[in-house]
Amino acid sequence: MTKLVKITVETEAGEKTDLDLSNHRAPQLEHIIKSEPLSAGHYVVYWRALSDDGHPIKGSIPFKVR
Amino acid sequence: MAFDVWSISIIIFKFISYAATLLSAGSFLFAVILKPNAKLSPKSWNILAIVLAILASFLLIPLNVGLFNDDGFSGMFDFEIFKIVIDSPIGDSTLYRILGLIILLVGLHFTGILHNFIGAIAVLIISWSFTQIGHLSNIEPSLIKLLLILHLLGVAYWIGAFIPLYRAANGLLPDEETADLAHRFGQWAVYIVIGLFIAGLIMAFNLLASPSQLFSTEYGRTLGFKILIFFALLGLAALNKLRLVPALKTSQPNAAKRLRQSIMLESLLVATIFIITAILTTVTQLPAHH
Repeated sequence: MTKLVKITVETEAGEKTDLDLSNHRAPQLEHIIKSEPLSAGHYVVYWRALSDDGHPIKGSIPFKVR
Repeated sequence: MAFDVWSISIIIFKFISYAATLLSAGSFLFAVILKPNAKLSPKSWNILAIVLAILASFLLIPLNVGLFNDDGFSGMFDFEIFKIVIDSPIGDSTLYRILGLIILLVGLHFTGILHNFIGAIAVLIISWSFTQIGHLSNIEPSLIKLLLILHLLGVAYWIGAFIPLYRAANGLLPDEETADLAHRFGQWAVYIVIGLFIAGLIMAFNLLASPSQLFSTEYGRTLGFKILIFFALLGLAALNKLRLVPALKTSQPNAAKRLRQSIMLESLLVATIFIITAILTTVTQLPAHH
């Protein structure tokens, strides 16, 4: 199980917004976090989490809003 | 393996923390087990190693905050992420390590049984700190944690001998006394190294799903490289025991110099193992178990 540490949404223009994770700090297998509505365009979500054995893990998810 | 400025910084400080911590613990073990001449291990050097270990261990906290935040230097001081890191295995491990090191430091000011008792508690707490984090921390059975503790105590005893033996072979003791000290160290070392190796092997089997992962995975290959360096270290240790120490006992020319060179090379190989361990615990992923 992982503990979410930081999630950042980046727009095509390079603007970054950190999502509020204050209600999502408990370690879980799956995390569902809502963001503000997004306008059409390409985005990248950068996420960072802490595994239960203390390892930092990170990834990115590119997606497109039509 | 993905390296960035944060992971490289964490690897460097982990290396310093491992080396200084195990050297501090090892100096205590060497002194208690072999009771060498006190001038071989100046108290000031022991204090320096412990302080360095405390600082390096402590600095891993803000460095991990910086890694998670990935927002430049100021990102190391994010209080929300700091709380998450402190309340994680990273925080637990650091707390126990620093606690053990402080107790070790306090123990230096005592002598006799009190010194030995306080030091033993400290060394056990320090060893325990390494079981709170990392790939082995969640593996069942819990016996694996005991193996890690024994593995680390063995490593500490081994490297705790480097400075005293080097100084002895550098003229602080006559050749015959140096040979006697090295011989007594070696008598214990045979069993400790065998135990260290077996413990390491069992841990490796628990980390990898199969021996083939030693070659087929990045983690396995890195671990395999560590094992190769260990065998090189073993070869040097055997050379010391079977050739150099007997040569020193009979005061053969250059025997002391060759022993010093061998100890220097052993130190380098141990440092390499610590760096590989820091890399394994920072930027590699455990292979999948099926």
